[in-house]
Amino acid sequence: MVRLLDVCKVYENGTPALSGINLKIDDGEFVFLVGSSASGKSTIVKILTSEVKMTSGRGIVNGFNLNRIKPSKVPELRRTVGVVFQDFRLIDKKTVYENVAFAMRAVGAPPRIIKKRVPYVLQLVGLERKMKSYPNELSGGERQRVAVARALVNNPSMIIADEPTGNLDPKMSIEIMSLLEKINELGTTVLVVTHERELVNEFSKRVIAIDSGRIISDRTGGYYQNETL
Amino acid sequence: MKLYNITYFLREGIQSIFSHRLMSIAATSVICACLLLMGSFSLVAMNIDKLLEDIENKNEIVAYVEETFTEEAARAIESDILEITEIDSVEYMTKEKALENFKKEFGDESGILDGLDERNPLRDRYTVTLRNIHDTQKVADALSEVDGIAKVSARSDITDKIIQVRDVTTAICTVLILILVLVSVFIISNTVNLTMFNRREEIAIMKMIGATNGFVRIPFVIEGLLIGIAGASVALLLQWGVYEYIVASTLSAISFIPTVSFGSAIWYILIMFYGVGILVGGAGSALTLRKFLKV
Repeated sequence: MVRLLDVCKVYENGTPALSGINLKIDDGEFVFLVGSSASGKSTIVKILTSEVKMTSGRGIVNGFNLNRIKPSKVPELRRTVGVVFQDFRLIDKKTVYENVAFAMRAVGAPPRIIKKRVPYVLQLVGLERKMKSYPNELSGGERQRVAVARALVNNPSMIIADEPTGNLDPKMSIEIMSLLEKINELGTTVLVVTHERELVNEFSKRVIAIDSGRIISDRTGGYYQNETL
Repeated sequence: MKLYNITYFLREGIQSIFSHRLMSIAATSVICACLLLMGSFSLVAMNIDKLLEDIENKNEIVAYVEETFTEEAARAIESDILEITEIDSVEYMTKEKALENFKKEFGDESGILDGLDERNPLRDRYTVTLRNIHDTQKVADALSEVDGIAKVSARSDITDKIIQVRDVTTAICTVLILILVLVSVFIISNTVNLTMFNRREEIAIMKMIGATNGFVRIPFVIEGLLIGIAGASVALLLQWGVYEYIVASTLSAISFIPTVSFGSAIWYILIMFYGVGILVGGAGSALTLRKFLKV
């Protein structure tokens, strides 16, 4: 669940990134956040994960008040939000299994639970046969599926995918999107940040468009079919 | 903290040493090199100190007994001398024995002393050693007060010089070792910094997943501690080997120079090496990490 109310962000060097953002995402939704590069998409993701603080406005993510959250509570917020990055951000020195299990250890899960949960999640993303491989032995699509598994393993109420297909070819991109759609059907809120219009048009979902730090459109169904950005 | 967490942190710390082999070797070597430098310097300082102490100990006061005293009377003075509290030991020597020693010092050329046996010009004497070299003048004065002592020979000018030299060397060594410690801490913290910088991505990932700072920090600190201990152990072995080699091959050839045995210095070296190693390894990584945890 996300609520942003009149959120503005100006970076310390004076660069304005967001102005007057109002955003409401309910539990169980699947939402695309689209826009060209430097439109402010990544800043929204960073605000949602409390990586940067908003300059003004108010915000709530999964019950955490972004304006008042203490640094010690930020890890708890992040555990409710699984993030998938464009560059996968896997730890190269750890196996696929370890990369996913690691996220569970970070939240203090007992080994007994980890041993059950990690294979289950890897099976969900179709990587049960690659558990012992290292990230550099995998294709881009497979790596991204590991990242999705990692984001998913702690049962977050929401998954944010920041340009998850930016480094993938079209076929693999569809695969990842379908995976995210499947996860959404299982009850997790999904927010996909992207600038790939063909991909967005493949799915009939809610699309929020952002340009120069402002929301310029919010509707369901292929946004790019009607307007250019 | 739960048990499975402790075993996880330990395993993680140890694994990480091996998976970042080059950095671990670099950090261990740097710690080892710094400790070796510190250790070598301390050993040199200890040896200088020992040498000076030895010279101090050789600095005896000789008190000559009145010529009119019989041997029996002369020996009776000993109890009076021993009343001077600053005295460590007293040794009585008859004039005959003194002459014998005198001849020994001349060795092959002792012939020039030949005629002296019948009319020994030397006196019976007491050789006095002190607990503390600083008291030389005081004891010399007290000795000349003793009834039956004709003359006291004490080179208080030389002892003053030795005290000066020793004080100055102690001061210089202390300052140099402190500087070395500071330089080592600086170099080591830079190495740790570099290690962390290499792994900032890993740290950022952990933080994004929702790991607490403690969870990220503990394996790094364990890793730092182990590297510190490894560096100290290697340094200790090297120091030992090199020192024994130098002592055996060079210093022992110059027999009049007394040397400190490694065994007698081992506690000092042990505490210094492991203390500094653990401190800079553990605390160093904990402190350096703070910067990278702000994600």
